[in-house]
Amino acid sequence: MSSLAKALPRTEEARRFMSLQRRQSLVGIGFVLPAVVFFAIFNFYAIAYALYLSFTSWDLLTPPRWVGFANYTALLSEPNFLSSLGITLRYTFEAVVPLILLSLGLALLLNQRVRFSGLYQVIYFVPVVIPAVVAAIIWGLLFRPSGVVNNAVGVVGVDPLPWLASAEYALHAIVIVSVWGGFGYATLILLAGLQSIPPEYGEAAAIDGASRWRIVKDITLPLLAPRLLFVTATSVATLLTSFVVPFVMTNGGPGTATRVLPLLIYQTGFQFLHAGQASAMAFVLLLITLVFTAVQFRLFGREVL
Amino acid sequence: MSADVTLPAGRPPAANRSWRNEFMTASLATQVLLILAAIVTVIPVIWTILSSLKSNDTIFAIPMRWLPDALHWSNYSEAFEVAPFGRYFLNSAIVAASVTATTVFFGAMAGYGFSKFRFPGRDVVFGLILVTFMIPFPVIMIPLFVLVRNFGWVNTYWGLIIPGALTGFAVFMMRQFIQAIPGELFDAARIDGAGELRIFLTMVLPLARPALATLGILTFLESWNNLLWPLIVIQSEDMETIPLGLTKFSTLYSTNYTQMLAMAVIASLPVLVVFIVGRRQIINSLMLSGIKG
Amino acid sequence: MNPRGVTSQQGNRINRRRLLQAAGATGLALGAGSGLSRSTAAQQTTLTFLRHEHPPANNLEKELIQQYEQANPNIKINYVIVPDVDLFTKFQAMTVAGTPPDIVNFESSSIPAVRQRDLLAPVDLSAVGVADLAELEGRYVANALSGYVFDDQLFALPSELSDYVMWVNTQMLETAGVEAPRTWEEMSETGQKLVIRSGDQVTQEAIALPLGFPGVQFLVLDAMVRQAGGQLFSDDGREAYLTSDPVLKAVATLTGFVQTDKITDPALNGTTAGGDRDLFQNGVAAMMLTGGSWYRGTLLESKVGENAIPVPFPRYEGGPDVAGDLYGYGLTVGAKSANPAEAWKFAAMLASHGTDYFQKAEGLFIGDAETAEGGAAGEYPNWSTFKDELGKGQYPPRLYQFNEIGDIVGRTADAIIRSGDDPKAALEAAQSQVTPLLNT
Repeated sequence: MSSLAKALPRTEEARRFMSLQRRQSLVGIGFVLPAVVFFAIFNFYAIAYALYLSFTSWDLLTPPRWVGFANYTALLSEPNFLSSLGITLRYTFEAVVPLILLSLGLALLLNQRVRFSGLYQVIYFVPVVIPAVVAAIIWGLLFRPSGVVNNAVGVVGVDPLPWLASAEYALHAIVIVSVWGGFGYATLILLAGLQSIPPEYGEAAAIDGASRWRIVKDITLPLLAPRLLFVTATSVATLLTSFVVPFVMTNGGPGTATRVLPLLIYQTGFQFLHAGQASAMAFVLLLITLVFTAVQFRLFGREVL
Repeated sequence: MSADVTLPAGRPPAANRSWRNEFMTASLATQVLLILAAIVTVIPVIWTILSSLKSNDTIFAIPMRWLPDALHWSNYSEAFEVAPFGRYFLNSAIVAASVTATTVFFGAMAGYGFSKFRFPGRDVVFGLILVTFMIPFPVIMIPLFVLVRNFGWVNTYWGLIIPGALTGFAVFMMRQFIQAIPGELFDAARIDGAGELRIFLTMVLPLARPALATLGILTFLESWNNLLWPLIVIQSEDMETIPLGLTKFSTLYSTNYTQMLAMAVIASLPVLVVFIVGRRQIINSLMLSGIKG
Repeated sequence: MNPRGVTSQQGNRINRRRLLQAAGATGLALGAGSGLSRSTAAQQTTLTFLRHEHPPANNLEKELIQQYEQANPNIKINYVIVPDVDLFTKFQAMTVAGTPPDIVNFESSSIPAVRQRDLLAPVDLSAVGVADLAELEGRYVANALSGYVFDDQLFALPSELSDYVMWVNTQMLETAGVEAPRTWEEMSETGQKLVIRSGDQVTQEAIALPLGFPGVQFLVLDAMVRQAGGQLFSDDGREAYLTSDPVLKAVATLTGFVQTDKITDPALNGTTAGGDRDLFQNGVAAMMLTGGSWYRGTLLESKVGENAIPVPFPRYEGGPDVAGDLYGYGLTVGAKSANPAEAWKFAAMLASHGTDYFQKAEGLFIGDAETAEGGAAGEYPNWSTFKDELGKGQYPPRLYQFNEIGDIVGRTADAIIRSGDDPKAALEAAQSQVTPLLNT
């Protein structure tokens, strides 16, 4: 703004323009101020406080005690933390891939002129609407040895699986619940994106003899990229911080097989009396989330803003 | 949906026939796949509703039984006696409605400010706010609690509402949407002498309605289902919310699955209704939103 | 029985706080944040009582509270109930908030940690109405108070005393033509006859194990290790013996039931904390190991009803005559409570209703001698089994970091038994994790 000021001749108009700018600027600040103040208090101050806590040892019952970097260095060799981190990353990756593929596939299907499209959209969105606690409880029952899921895999000739009793399958179970609970939202967003791509592009390519697959690959997907990025980035962030389903459905078990980091943080802070260390863990999680998001934006990013 | 698929004009006959055949089989295959996905999605829901009418030992029956032996409607009335769910519904409603109102209103304000005005540091501050919605809740859980304690809001509606009153996502979404609205409209109003607040209330908000509706629904949904924050903040039974109430069906001593499922069904209804009613708005706004695509 | 008994009072308190703060009554406003037990007008005292959920006991207590409030108009009790697994979290949250509860019904294993941080007030013997500790001990069965005495001072009044016995389904045993096993070795054999399969599916298992429930698994394991002639931890909680032979033996026994004998199917347990109890109550398991005398109430309301009896916790053949671990709940008063005398009076009132608890909460035993020797217990089927076992069990070691240690040990056992992890390696890992957490 100041460079603009220098460029304009010092006329009456210029002066009025300047004060108009300044007034607009103040108005703009006025509109964003409540939000900024709110975030300053409830996010940034809270984060700063959390950072302070991560340098202390605190049992929530007696005052905190400063310990410097001890919490962080302990984490580097803490097997529980490292394994939980591994579990979290595995879970996130294992869930986000089917989530995106499924949502993309359904969106592409719905994008053709299909009957009952609206009905499908409502149905796919129903799991999103169901509270996570409820979903976890229901699926806990569905994964029983003689439950619905095993009946379903039995239909295709697979023997009943131990699901929640097995370290390996319990993680798959949580993944399934997460994908079920989230794909509807992603599908809708991607579908909206597809429908804002003018159909002429695809038709022109079809006339030129391009196959359906090539149209999707070379025209549709690139145009869809910003939304795809948005959906992927938010899904990854959500999965990394997923708490309710592991907490309610498996309580981190069997053993520690599904103890994702948010659950470990909760336990460490509230059950094991190590709130300072829990804070340190939380910051590591934050760092990872930011890194993943930044990487995604860099790799696929374009002007989403 | 409303997008039309039109066959290319002036098509050669041979290509036309194969295109149409392809279209037909594709159409059938499409329907099949979509139906399959719909079935898988809906089976847990159907099972839940059926099971909410069973008796507990039917749930444990091996092999599994789909249908109840008799319709135990009493599960529903008994579920309400396990804990004061009437009160929980009220609390959840108050909190969710308040959070929705504040999020939508202040999110729109901030979105408008960030997209239609220029001031120093605008993009930096916006970027920081974006970052906040990447922050995992466990990071700020305890500090938020201490903050809330300092304000004297533990175990109060304030404590449940204020920390969730606005999110980075809300600001982001509103800014994207409002950015796509032509600014000339507002400039014209300014020239006519309209005050800034008036412009916001009588022009910006109505034009942003699809986005407001979507944001409202998503916010309501998230608030209604929130478990972790109320778990920490609430200290007495009469302030509890529905998700907390749902955990009460599973005690150390036994789990009353049928009652729990009955209450789960009821707990999901309000949000489902809100969604169905507002579905069109959601679709519209997702289509028109400024996220380029 | 109005479960919302204290709601309006709570609402009043919140409204009043808003008014007073708005009026700038700084003294009262400060008071509002420093503890719920305070006098706001004409000596009215509010005591907050935090307790875990157990509907029969909760209902009785609501009655008793109403009566107490009527008899003592200047006292109001704020009764907070939470699921058992959340009790400690709730306590911490309230403490951080600056309003710790006055009276907390802690599980015995939580008390060492809280006491060690000087957060508990010793029992006010005169408020309770006794001259000295010996007199109070006389009112209870042997061992009842021992878990709560630290440095010769008592820090809790027992509100529940229990030990795990084995509950068996009499119908299932009869159908299979077997007797309840008395040893773990017999369990292997007998168990085979109690398992019913339909194809590959286990439709009835011999015994339900408390898997996925670290705290309870710890108790079962602790008892079995003692039965095998060893200990998980030293009595003072300063040493851990997780890699010792008795531990390996106990773990191997349980693993054997799952993997070798296949008399129990962990997949059936589900995911809730009381999974094994659900299975027994719903007629899927013939035996279970985690029920005290209080369990009868739950059973009577379930499908199993009267077809279940308690029998002694199995032992090892030729091993020491050690019963299941003792545990319980104790009423404690916060060190920062504004009114400890009143709080102890209230706690003592509850503690005087042993017979009511026993009868109305179907077998909830608070440890008092009157109930144990008197008529009420006599009407409880197989009460002698409980009495005997109570005398032969031991409290688990008093670990300050019990939550974390119990979680590690429980999850390690779970991983070995359910997922088939190598016992030696897993226990060694657990030993090194647990060592820095031991008492000092």
